[in-house]
Amino acid sequence: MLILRGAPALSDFRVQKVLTQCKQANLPVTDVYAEFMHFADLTAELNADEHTKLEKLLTYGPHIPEHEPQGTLILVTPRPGTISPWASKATDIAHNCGLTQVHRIERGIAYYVEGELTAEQQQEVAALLHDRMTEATHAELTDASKLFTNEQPRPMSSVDILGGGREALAKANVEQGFALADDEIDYLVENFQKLGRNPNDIELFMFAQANSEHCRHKIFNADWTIDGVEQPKSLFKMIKNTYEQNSVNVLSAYKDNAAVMKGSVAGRFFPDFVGEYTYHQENIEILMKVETHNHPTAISPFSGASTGSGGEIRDEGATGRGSKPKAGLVGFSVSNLRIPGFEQPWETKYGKPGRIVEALDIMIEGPLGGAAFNNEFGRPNLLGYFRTYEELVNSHNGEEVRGYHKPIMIAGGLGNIRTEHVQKGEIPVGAKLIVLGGPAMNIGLGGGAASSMASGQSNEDLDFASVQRENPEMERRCQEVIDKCWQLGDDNPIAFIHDVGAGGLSNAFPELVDDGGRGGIFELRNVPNDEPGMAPHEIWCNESQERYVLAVAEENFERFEQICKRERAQYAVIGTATEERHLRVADSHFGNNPVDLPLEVLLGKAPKMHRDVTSKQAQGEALETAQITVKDAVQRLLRLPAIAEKTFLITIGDRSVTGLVARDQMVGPWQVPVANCAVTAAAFDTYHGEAMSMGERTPAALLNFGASARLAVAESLTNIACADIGSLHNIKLSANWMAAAGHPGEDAGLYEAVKAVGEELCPALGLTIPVGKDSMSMKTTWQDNGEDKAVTAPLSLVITAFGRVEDIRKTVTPQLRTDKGESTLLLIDLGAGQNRMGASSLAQVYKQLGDKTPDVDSPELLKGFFEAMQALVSEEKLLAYHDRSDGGLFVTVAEMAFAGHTGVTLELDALAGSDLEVLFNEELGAVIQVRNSDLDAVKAVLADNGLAALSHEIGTLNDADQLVIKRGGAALVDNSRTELRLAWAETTYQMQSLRDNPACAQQEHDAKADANDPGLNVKLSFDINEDVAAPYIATGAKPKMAILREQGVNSHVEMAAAFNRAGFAAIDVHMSDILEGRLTLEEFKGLVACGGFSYGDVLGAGEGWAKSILFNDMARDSSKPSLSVKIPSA
Amino acid sequence: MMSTLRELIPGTEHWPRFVTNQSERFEARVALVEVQDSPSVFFNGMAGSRMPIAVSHGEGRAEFANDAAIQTAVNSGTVAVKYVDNYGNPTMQYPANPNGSPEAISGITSTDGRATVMMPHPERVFRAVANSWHPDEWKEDSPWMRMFRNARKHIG
Repeated sequence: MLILRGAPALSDFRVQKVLTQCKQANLPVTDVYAEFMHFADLTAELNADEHTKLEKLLTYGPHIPEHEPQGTLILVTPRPGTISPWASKATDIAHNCGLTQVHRIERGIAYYVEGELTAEQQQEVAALLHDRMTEATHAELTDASKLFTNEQPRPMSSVDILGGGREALAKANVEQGFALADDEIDYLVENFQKLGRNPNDIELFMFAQANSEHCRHKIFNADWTIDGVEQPKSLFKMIKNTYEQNSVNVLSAYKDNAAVMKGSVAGRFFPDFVGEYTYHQENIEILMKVETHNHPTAISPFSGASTGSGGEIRDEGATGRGSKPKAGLVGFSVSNLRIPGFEQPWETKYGKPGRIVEALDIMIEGPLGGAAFNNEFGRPNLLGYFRTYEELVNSHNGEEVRGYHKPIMIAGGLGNIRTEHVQKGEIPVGAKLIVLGGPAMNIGLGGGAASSMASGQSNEDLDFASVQRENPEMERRCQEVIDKCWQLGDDNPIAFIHDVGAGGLSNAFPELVDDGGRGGIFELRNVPNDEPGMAPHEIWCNESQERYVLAVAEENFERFEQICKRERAQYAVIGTATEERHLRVADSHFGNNPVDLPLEVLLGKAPKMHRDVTSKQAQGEALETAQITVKDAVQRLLRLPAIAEKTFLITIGDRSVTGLVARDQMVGPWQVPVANCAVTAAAFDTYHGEAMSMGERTPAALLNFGASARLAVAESLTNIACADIGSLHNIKLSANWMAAAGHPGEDAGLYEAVKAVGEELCPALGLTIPVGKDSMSMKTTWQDNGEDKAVTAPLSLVITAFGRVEDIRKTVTPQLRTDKGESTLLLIDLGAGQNRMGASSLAQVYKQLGDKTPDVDSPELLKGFFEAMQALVSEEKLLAYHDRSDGGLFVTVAEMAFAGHTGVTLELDALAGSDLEVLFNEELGAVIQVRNSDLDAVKAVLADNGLAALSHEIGTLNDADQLVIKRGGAALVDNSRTELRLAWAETTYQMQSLRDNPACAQQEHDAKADANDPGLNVKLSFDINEDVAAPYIATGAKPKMAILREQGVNSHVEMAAAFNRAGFAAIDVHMSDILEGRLTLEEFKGLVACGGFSYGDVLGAGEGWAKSILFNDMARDSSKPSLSVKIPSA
Repeated sequence: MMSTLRELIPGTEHWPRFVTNQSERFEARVALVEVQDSPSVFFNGMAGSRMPIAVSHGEGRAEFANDAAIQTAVNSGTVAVKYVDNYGNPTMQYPANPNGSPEAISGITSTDGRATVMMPHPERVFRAVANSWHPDEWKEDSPWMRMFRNARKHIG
């Protein structure tokens, strides 16, 4: 093993953060210094030249002053026995630079800790410095050699049910953590006795995963008895009712990895078979998917959230016969943040179990994980929500703490698919069954089963084993393969594709062959495997990420293989499809068949469950408002995370990649994050597109399950109503249900909520829910000094609305326009003056719950609202639009003023109710800004849709830059806009300071104090409408531009589109084309190297790519003749 | 990436490396930039223009060997694009300068102007609709199309 010292690893402020952490933990650390340390495992000695080359390769990153290490060494490396994603990419670069003797390069960080520390304290420091999920610590540099030891494959075991009967299996179930239910144990004993043999551990693991709540949705398929009355439908059947009632524009529902709806006709832009990018006029259908990854995020926030996004992106690529993810969303619900030094008056500490991560840490690490995956994959993240809730309240089950100790981490998005690929194909007998993507690793074992338990209930080691690890660059490569396949149209070699998620291959392959009406024969040792020591069940059942399973007919295999090789995407043929519906997994190492089962036995256990439950009514208590002043309420509400500015969650995520983003979260010249919904273009040559929005009002479920569900649907509509969608038939919903099943009252509440939406509201509105997911263990239990404690989440329905957009230019934002003449603000109050305050943000910041919640009283009225807004959007009568939601009218208008950098004066005498009710009620509705010259026309449209009595002129802009709200002649609010805006920004500032460089956080916060900031503006020294290329295009010549990419690059398509528009022939060139001599750059007039994460940026941004050119003679010679070079970011 | 290829590209000896942002965080922002007077063929006729552009990177801070190297680069007249604040002044203030690049450098060209490297993404905002904010009067193309058309014109 070669040890190569790298650059210092910590900048000054990072050192300070480590020292602060140590101080908080009472550890007497006086100084810390850290540097990267590289370890190379070689198959042969390097000569002097090669050694220098390797050293250069490992010199990257910014210059930080180096000094001689002092103090105690704590070396942090990846966990021995695993191969880190960093290592696999760095090793690839070394190989592409000609260093083939390098078997593997790993990286660690050597921390040198100063101070008088006891051995125990050293342990504590080590614990602070590393992530116990994926890393290990060592006391000597040479200990890193453990990273390169090879273990012998461990054998499988079997459970002796023939000898020991049911008892033997019940015992093994506990000891080995299969997580089998009692009736499943009975079923297995019976079936293996019939087969006349003992089950192998691998078969039991596989069975447990495939039949887990996570994979089978037992509760959603259960029969129900509520208060002794048998219910006619299962939950799932009520959801499907929305499709039975209305399937207009739905192309695929319930059966695939994502649902598909009708999109637009436009020119999809991709390379033809000679590599030139061109437009292809065709149907661009819209696919949609939203997933949750709550359990892993509670245990390990960064990895949990990143693999949550990764898994959902795979679903969107593995729809039909291959598809393309396009735009993403990420949302979080957690308990109170309690930011140190910024604790809020309503944030009482109720305790938590040891292994559950604090809400604050979830919100520091989790969003970074979600963003990192999206960024590196190359998908813009355009939407999200963030809610905190943790309170002792009198809800359905009496007084108890309700909150999100078990967090919600939701990830989803939309994508596109060709019409002819929406349905999966036939799997022919003899088809090759392939795994595409990364190697198997011993991580994420048993995730499907672990996530189906209430947190705190399962064994700690099992929780850790169930966490996964991300490698987004690998997924990018796989997606490039899928793209190249669907781009072949009728010649698409993919017959059938699934992503590999919970249960690993053990769930994915059986599902694949079962869905295709086949069986399969597999060879375990063909699975690409980075941990040779794994036992058969670990190879088969682990949840290593970034993998897909596919069926490819034999005659198409060669084409598929060529595509994979060009993209450097790992793939392996694991099995063959058989006529017989049987599953056999052979193991050539041990010469046996660890799995040998009829598919019937694996999947035939009807997961029928019967739930006999009792309903409970929440009493609630009227909101006590005597002590609440408007002034104090304003200050509290602006700091409630659900309301406060969310910039720290947004600027970490790429929102421009693809070049197809038409509306991100940031709005207007001052880039204020208040957009109602996200909008994308269907293609570069059209104004048609797609929109998505979210709706969730979960605290309302603590008082009224049905209302909370209806509000979620309604809010998704009031959010998406600002885009030019037209009919409600152009909108489809994803419903994600989170509940603490088994908690008194919650099951019946879930039934009530699903019924409210599936049987009533959606059919009344003509809406379909073609996709969704459930997570039924939203409760955390633990023991505190012998006392049983629990925190239970409110029943949580998160709705995501997806819509086809007619004209993306017409989307209206909350930015108040000061440049459009005299204007008026109108409130449309769908609550019709009822001002129901139950479960409002106001109640939350005063530690109350209230009694009656807002609700959708009339679907007709909601429909009228949507149609009125659509008419006004289409006719471009709205200058600004913002829905009323958390924090009520006050927050709606304040956010509009922030986005427009303007003062506003409201006169609210016409609205009935107390001041607090009028300002802070969260009844459905919206505020719109209209030109005074359009006022009559707008009122006519509102009246036509039954909204005349609900519409109120509430005010207009002022020049004083003050937010003034008057009632009865008195000013309830009279603050400078800047002052309110800074209060709104405090949460994001505090979070950013904790997480990033605090000096930067301070500068950003200070910049918001500039009341005169003119905002983004444009000054051009040329005529924007002049096309200087036109005379050259007119000659008919199309010079060739090489659109150069390397694995991990993600900005090449939009780059090609820009050059194509300027009159170039934009040609797709992969570095592998050059390194393998398929083409040289001589034939090109220019080349452009595109941005992204080449090799995951492991050796510095773009540096690994660059060095693979410098150190590779073929590439180096080839790149000389280029005439003109344009290079954007890496 | 190309800045590491200096030895292959004539006239780029003065180019910086691009390293971790000062915030040590991935920065996805709309930045305001001003095109400088430089030999870059891509920015022909655009000097003095101020426009918003997509920024999206974790490693975009220009790092030169030392202060003298920064001056050499500035004096060479090859700085092609700078981050400016909303008042139009080159800026070191975060987040208007999203990565902490010295002299607010966001793009630089070779001495002959044929090779240009920049951190922001003009290709992601070449359509007006792809800009998070743009003036109402912009039609289909954003001003960034001029860069690509300049390249076409240069080739002839």
